[in-house]
Amino acid sequence: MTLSRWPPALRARFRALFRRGRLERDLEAEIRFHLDRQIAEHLARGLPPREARRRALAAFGGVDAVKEMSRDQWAFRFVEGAARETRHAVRRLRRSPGFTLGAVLSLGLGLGLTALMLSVASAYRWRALPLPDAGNLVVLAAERPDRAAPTNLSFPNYRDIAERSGAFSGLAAYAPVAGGLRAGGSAERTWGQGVSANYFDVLGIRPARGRFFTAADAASSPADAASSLADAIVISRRLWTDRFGADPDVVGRVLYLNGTPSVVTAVAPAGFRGTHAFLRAEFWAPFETAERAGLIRLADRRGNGFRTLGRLAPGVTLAQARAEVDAITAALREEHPGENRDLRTLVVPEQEARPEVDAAGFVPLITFLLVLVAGIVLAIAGANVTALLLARSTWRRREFAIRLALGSTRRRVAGQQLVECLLIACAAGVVGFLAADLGATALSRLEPPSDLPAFVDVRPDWTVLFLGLLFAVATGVAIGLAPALTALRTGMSGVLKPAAGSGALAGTRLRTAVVAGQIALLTVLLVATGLFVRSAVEARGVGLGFDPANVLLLTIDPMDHRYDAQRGRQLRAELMRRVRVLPGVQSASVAAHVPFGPSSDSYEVLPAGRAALEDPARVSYNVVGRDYFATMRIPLLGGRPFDDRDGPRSPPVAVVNETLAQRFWPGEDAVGKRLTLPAGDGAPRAIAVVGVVGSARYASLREAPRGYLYLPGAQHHRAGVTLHVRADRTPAALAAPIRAALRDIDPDVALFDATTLDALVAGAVMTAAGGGAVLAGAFGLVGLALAMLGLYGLMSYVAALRRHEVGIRIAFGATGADVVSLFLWHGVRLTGAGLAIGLVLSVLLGRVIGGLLTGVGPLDPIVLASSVSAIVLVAAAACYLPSRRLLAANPLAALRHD
Amino acid sequence: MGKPTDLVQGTLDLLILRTIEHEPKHGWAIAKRIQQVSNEVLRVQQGSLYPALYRLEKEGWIAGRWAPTETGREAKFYALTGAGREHLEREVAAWERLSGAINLVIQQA
Repeated sequence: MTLSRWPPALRARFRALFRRGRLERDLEAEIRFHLDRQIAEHLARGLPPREARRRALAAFGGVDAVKEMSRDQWAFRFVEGAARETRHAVRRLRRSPGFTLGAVLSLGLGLGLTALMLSVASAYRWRALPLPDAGNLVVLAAERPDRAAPTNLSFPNYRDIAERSGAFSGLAAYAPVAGGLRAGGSAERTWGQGVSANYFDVLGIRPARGRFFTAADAASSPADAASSLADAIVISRRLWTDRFGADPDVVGRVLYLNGTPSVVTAVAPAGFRGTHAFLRAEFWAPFETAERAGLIRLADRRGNGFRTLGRLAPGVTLAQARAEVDAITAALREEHPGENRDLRTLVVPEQEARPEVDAAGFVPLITFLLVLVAGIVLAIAGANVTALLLARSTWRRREFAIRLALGSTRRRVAGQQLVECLLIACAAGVVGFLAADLGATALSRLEPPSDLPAFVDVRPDWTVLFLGLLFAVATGVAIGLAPALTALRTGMSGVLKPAAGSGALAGTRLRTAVVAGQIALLTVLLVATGLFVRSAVEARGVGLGFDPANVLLLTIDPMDHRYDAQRGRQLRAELMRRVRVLPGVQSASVAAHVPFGPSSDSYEVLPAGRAALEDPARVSYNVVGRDYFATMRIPLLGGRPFDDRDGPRSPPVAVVNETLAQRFWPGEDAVGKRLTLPAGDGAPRAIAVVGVVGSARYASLREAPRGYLYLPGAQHHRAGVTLHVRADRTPAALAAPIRAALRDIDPDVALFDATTLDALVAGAVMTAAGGGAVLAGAFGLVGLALAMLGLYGLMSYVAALRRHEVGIRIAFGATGADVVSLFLWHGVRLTGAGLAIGLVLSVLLGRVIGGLLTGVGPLDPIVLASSVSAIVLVAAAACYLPSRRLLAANPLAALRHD
Repeated sequence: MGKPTDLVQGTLDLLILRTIEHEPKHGWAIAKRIQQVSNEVLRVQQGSLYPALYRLEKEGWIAGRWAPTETGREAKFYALTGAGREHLEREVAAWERLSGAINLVIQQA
């Protein structure tokens, strides 16, 4: 490295940084040389050695001062100074490990939670999809009058819009599907997506192997097997490694989707799991293939199972696209007045449609709340550490005064405080980030009670890292400000005063405000937690309409062509016959849908004799077997349940729930009335109502009471049904014998999704209360721990500083009770102020979160009362304990402290 | 005109540069020389010489080199660089202008 070519100033700095030792030695040598020469000169003139030396030194000036001035010339003072200050700060912090650990952990927890919540917000709000040019992605949503929130589109509507629209460079659709996928071995239930032909075009990703199918393939001749769209399928990388053993020749191999052969044309890149927010897809099949395999229904124009993803054409604005889609939708309304009545289609930027188009409404609210709650916890942790730092810096006033006397400046002393705080904050930042990463990993392992391959990715990303760092530094400065200011205000008089009581308590006002603020924030957190917890409890206790205890659920879906309607019925009948005689089984039945489950069906149903209803709505229905109501313990209110009379050739019958009966035939007995059901192929069918059962909850715990229809399995074919088996005791023990019974009948059919009704209800409770609510509750507990620790620590320090005052009081005759009540009074005033502010804030918060609560108002007295009493109790303990310690110590020893 | 300290610093620089104009000297020799040539009027605080020398070195006007002295001991000799020579000429010119102007004012008043 030819230094000689560098500008001299830079060279000097370089030397100062890296050749420091050499510079020091040179300086030392130069000065020594100088002094020696001067002394020699004096000696030559005949002065005695000591005099010569004295004169030489006097003439030279202060050697150390000269050295300092010389060092000043060597540049990078600031960096050196900062490095030295940091070293000193580390040493100081290591000398009080308890304080440092407590401060770092408290702040770390707060920062970690904030980082985690920022990650969640990022995943569902800001983070771009990992697709090229994700900025101009849009999503279409359908608005219908009978649904409160926007939904996805139906396939026919999507197809028409896509064909007629010019505003999009590509508009793709996809829908989650599940089926039996067999790759040479046995079939396994696999989740994937049915997609439109241009799906991969719109996405813009590149395959890991092979070639994606494209919109162009749709036009190619079906006879060309290699590129024909109808047989193509794309598999995920995980599927490739798991089922194909990472075979390098996988492209071109055949796999069977529900028995339908498909050719693998590509392997998706690693990590790509489809575009659904929550589900992990393992294969992507064109809609035609999926339909042929029985995985999806395309024809229903009133459906809503198709999610869309599109890109705006270059030069087209969102407003233009919206206008065009509006025009197309208007045309669709005219062309299909029945199915598309009052349909509106929205065009929404992709980021605003996460995770689902219907959830997008309150996702901002939820994420805002989460970040707010995390921010509150961080604020509490910060306040804690500030209080501790304040107390500590007040304790160190004498040290500051001594430093000032020895020549330091006030700015330097304050700067030292700031450096300590920044160090604590940075350490806390690291701890916090690790905690957030752990938390995110734990979250991503959360699995809902079903075989849905749910996937929650909230790992912190670079944005979060950057923001977290910002928060950490801001926190460090914030907590360091007050102690630094205290240090600035210290005068040298602190050395002389023996830290008498009045001096120590001079900064009480600030500290009191800090603690009162803490209590206020804690109140808000506790109230929020209490509300959410009660909401969850209420949701759980909500009348289900059936008895979920001890019911085992197993799903069967004979997925190949051997089972048509009749043979399927026979299979089920034989299986049920065997299951019902198993020991431990009270009753058993089958049904197409489970409560709170992922699937549902609905018809537009009318009471016979009426052409249309004032507010027609689709009625959900379930296809059930014999003994369903008995197994579910749904009360029979009139008529009879399904039995052997209702065979495939008998008159069509149905059972309605009470709500539907009241709605269609108010005040009358529904048994014997007739319903009109639309038929798949032409004339509507008339169905007789043979029974009325109690209403229940079907899809969610918070739904309003609605009509529900039951149809007999014998008359309505369903290939896939779920066994509902009510057991005497533990339902899980029955799973093995039931599987064995099925294996006896047909070893190629599998039972899956084993779960219990209790688990499904628990899952529904979780959804009703909202995952965010559970998280808020967790934060509330953490916040409680932090705040109480902080309060206790602070009161201890105040107690320690008031030792002298207490000693004096006791010497003058105060009793133990007097001293204790002194503290308690101080604490009561403090807590009272904090509680008052906190309650006001809670009222405001209640307004905001009222919409998320079930069965409990935002100003619920029980929650408020318990929050207040909890705080009062703990605050009392926090004030009482230090005072006890004070009394226990010898009062004379307190006086003799100095 | 700058602060008094600037004046003093600039003057010290000038003295040092002038002293080593013709031959390199080490720190002690520079101090003795200034004292000598000014007829003992200018007794520079000897220690303050070294920070000034380092500053001048940083600016690139002088260059230091360790070399043996007549006694055999090693000392750091400072020599004027090309840039230093130019700076010296400029500063001497400025000084003469300044002192000339002051002289005029003093004689007039």
